[in-house]
Amino acid sequence: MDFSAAHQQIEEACDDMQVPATRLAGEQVLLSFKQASGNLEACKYILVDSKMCMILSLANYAREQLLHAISVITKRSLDDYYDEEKQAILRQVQELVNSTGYSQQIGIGLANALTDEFSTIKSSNVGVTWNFHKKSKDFFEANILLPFFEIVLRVLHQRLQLYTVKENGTKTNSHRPDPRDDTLLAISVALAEKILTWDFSGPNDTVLAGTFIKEENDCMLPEDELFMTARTRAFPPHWRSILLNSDVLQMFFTLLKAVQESEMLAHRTRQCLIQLSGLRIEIFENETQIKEYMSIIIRGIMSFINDLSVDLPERSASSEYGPRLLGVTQMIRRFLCTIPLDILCSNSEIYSFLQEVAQLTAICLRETATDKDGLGYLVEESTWSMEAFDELLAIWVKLVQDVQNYINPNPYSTHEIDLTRVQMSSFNPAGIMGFLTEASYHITATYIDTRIEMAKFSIFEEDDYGGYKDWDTYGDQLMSIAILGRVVGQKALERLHGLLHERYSRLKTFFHSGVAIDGSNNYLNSLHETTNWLILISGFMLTDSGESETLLVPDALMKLSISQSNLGKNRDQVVMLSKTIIEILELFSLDASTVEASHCSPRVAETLFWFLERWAKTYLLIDETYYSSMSQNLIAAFGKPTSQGVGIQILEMIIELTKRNFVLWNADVDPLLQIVRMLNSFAKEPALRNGLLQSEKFIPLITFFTDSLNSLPEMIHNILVQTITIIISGASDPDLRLNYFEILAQAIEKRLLNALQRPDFDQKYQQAEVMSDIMSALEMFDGLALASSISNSAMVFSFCAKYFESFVRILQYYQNCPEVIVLVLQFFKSFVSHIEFSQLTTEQTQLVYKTIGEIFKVYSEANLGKNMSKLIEEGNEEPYSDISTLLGLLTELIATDLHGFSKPDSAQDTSGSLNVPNIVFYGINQLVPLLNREMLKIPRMCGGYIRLVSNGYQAITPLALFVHNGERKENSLAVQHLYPFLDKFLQIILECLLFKDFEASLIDPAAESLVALICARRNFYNSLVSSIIAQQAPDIRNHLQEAFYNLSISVPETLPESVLRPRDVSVLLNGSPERPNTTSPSSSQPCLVLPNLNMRIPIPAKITTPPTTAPEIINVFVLLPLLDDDDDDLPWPPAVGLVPSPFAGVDVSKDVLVLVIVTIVGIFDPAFDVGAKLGV
Amino acid sequence: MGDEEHQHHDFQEAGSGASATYPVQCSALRKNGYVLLKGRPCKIVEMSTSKTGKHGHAKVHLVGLDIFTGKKLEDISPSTHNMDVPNVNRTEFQLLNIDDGYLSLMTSDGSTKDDVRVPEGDLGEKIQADFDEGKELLITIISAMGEEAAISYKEAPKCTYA
Repeated sequence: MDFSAAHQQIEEACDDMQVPATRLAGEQVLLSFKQASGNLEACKYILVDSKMCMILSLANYAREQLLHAISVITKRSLDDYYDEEKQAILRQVQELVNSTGYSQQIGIGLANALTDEFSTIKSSNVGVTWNFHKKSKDFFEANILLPFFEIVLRVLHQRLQLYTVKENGTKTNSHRPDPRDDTLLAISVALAEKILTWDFSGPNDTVLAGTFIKEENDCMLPEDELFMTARTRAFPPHWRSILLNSDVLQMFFTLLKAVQESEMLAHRTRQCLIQLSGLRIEIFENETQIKEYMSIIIRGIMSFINDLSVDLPERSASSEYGPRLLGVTQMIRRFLCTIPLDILCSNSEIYSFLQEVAQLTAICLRETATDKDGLGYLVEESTWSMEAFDELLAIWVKLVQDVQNYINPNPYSTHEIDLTRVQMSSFNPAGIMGFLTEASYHITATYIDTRIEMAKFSIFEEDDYGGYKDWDTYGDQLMSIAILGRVVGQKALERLHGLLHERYSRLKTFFHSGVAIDGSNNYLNSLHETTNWLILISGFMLTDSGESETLLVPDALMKLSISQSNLGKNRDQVVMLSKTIIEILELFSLDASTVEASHCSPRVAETLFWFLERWAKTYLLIDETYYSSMSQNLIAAFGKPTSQGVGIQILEMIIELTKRNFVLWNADVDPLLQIVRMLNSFAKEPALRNGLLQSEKFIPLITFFTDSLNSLPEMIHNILVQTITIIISGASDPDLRLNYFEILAQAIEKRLLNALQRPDFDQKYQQAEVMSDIMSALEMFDGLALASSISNSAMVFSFCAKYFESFVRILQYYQNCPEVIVLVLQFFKSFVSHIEFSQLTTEQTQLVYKTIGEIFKVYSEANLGKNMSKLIEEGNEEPYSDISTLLGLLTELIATDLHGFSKPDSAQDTSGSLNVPNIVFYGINQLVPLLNREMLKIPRMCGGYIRLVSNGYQAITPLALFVHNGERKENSLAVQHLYPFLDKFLQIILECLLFKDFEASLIDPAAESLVALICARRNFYNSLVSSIIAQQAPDIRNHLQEAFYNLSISVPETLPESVLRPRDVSVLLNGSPERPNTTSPSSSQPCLVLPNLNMRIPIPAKITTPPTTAPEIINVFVLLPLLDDDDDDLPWPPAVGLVPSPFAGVDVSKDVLVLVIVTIVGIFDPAFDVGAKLGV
Repeated sequence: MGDEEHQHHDFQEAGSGASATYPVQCSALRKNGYVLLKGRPCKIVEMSTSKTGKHGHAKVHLVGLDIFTGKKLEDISPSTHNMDVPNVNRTEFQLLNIDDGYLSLMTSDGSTKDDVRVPEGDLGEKIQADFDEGKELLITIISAMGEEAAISYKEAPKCTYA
């Protein structure tokens, strides 16, 4: 090959690649070059010779690929060498780095590649086991990592000399090299970052991160998790001499200043410094070390802060300001949140440092509201400032909580304070608290101002929140501000109250003056937005968040309120702020027909009810017994009548406001949903719930809801009824409960009968009006079902059961109206999943089963063989929702059986009775012919199907266990007939796990089945394994043998009998699946055909008709025939079965088993992605 | 506007006494239900709300498929406004014959109904093929606003008289 000709050709092709018109031609040249013989030599020539930018970058790429390959080979062959030999890795790198020029680059490059390869997250997928990864990582960590760090520090130090101008230096700028062109510097900084962010194994880490080990094992304390998203890992003690070397620390600070112009280098160096700013206390040996470390960090950071403010004016020109700001705040956070407060305070510079940090916090805040381009849009920079502010805010919260903890140790806190250390030092928590109090007020006040300032821009905000609410999006921030605000409760509440009251007056004026002034839209919008934020901040300030537990008045506010007891309840700040917000809600609760109503904001309404939800749970009808000391003002303003409080009046007002807002916002889902959420949370608070139930206004509210259901948005219907049902089911007086339930039931009944009892129903049943009634009624029934619990199941059942027959009829009538069908099915699904079967009599349960059987029958009759116009399902957001609801119904039904919620075992003895297995079996047989491949390509459908399938494995397992136990009791005759089935299952499961694309979510149940099957049929298993091994290439047989050996020893010889419940046995004994009968396919007896197994299981005749009489109970495995082709991208043909998981509550080391299986699979398939399979 | 109103009057369904449409507040429409978009009866396939600005009132964005032509139609309306919901009937008929592109169907009173076309495309071809095979077919006819079309069919269940 003519090298120079090739060179020219390639360069031309590269040029061509840059132009769209000639790209294809260029590509062709390169591709044919790839095929040419002798191209490797030509490549070498070209790479050495070319000056072309694109080719030079190719050289980098080629180098990295080579180094990567070397690293992989090194790691892969690690086991083949003695420890001393392994040290060659280090020697090689050292030699390369010690030489000059390009070799040095290769050395650092190799170190980079090796560090990646041995790390947890960047290692290549080359088909080695987890253990191997772990072992090699540990080796690398113990022997190579620190020497690499030393090497890179030396190189960095050398390079840095080039860029630092001596103070009296005479170097001119023209000769100063540009760090951006320095490849060696770039890869050295990258290496330093990798080493400093290395994921060191903790003393208790036995497995690699991201495996089965649960989060709890992480060394994070819960509080840390809340306020620290990341922490510097604990470096091993022997790193001390390097890490704590003041020259090393200093060098990184200097480095950052030197590389400031390069975005990438600066970023990496900042990451190094962030890690170094958070060294843990354990690494220091003595006080001197720590003091020295602290003062280097403090000075380094101070100088960065200083640089930031110096650059302030010309900042807009520099796009780097944001990242710099954020980097500094992250360093500060690591530093201040890692070193214990008492030690921090021993440093004389700490106060001036904190002062700087406080100022920086305020600067960040103000910048978030800077309207840079004057167009009313917040510039991009503001998001950097906001993020930086969040980092700083976390520090203040941590400091405040720490000091409070020193002053007033909380026995439940997980933060341990080294008291001896504290006593030895001259630490004075009160002193720092004084400082923090001031800072807290400053930050809180600035935050409130900033939010008000930012509200000006909100009119430009698009409503593109994806359903996220401000209290979720800014929840952490608001919670933090609340913690700081409560430190200065009196001043903070005063400010909030003042501002809110002012908004209230302005709104009132606006409403009274009618439609106003030009630009009123903008004015009103900003008024809404500020009100919105003030309510949000007040909500967080006054209350803690919490889903289910009882929420208490924050300690600081209780103390504040107590201190103001002499002022009386009307001048108590907590009371005043709460009342102002309720007044604003009143002001906004307008008649929908008024002009003013169009000025209301649905968003503010939503926020107001969000506030009420939290506030009422905390303050309304407050329970004095929860508090050691109690504010009389709070009792008087919000307390129970028994304590002479007027809380009930407020609750009644809330009922009234609820109704008014339901009318006002009847067309706006967001406020409505929030109101329902509020009512729902009231249902969980006994005091509030009883307050509602005893109020005269509650019945009218229920009637109002049920009467206006048709005009409310669809999605409100069932949850509204569900919420009412939950509230009334909580009535402690059974008569009262029944009374309320009657009222609700009558309303539902009225709605249903309004349609069903029309004399012209036959003609009019498809009229929009009639259907609307039917559908609303069905949704109400669904709401009832969703609210079923142990306390109301009998009541809910009796009412719903009256209409079971009607539901079947509706299904028949509306067989061509899928929108109605799906509601009937949805009701039964909710009913089965929520009703407490233990509260029903046998007859009642039988009625449920029978009705479900009929539902399946009617549905299948109407839909079997139906050819739909494509139009019907296409374009539908949720196609086949009826079938997927039926799948769900079956799954729920099985679940009731699995959890033992259905009737006890004795039910089976009653002849003529139905049980879950036969209903499910019947249902599946009706459903399978309706399913097709297209449907299962829809994720939602496939998901439902897989849930059903996983129950199938749970059916195989007990069968295997039954046999296993039978044999142990030397009773093999009784179980012999099951051997062929088990062998087939064993073979299939094993083959699927090993050779087929296996659905990850089925691994667990499949593993359970496998262990049981191996126990039951060990000999057969051994012969299977031998034949699998024999079929493989000789070079992997050994690995495989070993892996299978590991699997075999992980499976216990015997499984405890207790894992099998008596009822499973009775199921198995009663029904003995007959041997395969392949000779008479035309046998008149219906058979379940299992094509994959070449098996036919005869089905007792009665089960093919609706199961009204007792069929023989058989334990059936339905292998759905539709997935039989080989090209399928769907999970393996699943078994569907009916019996409970025997391992529930038994500790079988499933993880071990899965691990072993994965190991075996890994041998077969090097590309097997373990993480993805296990969903980790 | 005038055109739409005109249509309303034209399509008063004779006999049943029910009007062709029924007013429903936009926010109370149901997904998978029906609505009149640009004067055409549509099945609602998408319903989403949006707001003008953070404090604006909700608007509903509706996407529907014309139940007769399959054409996609869209509309955006304040959530408080009323929309017309067409009365839609879906009825099964036994197929007697296919004649010159029209289905000949048996009504419940035993007379024949010959004014519905064989649907275009896949469905029509399947009906024709199954009918040619001699299968007894039940056809579902959808009707609204005075128009009719076949939307699905299945083989009539075999009656076995015991």
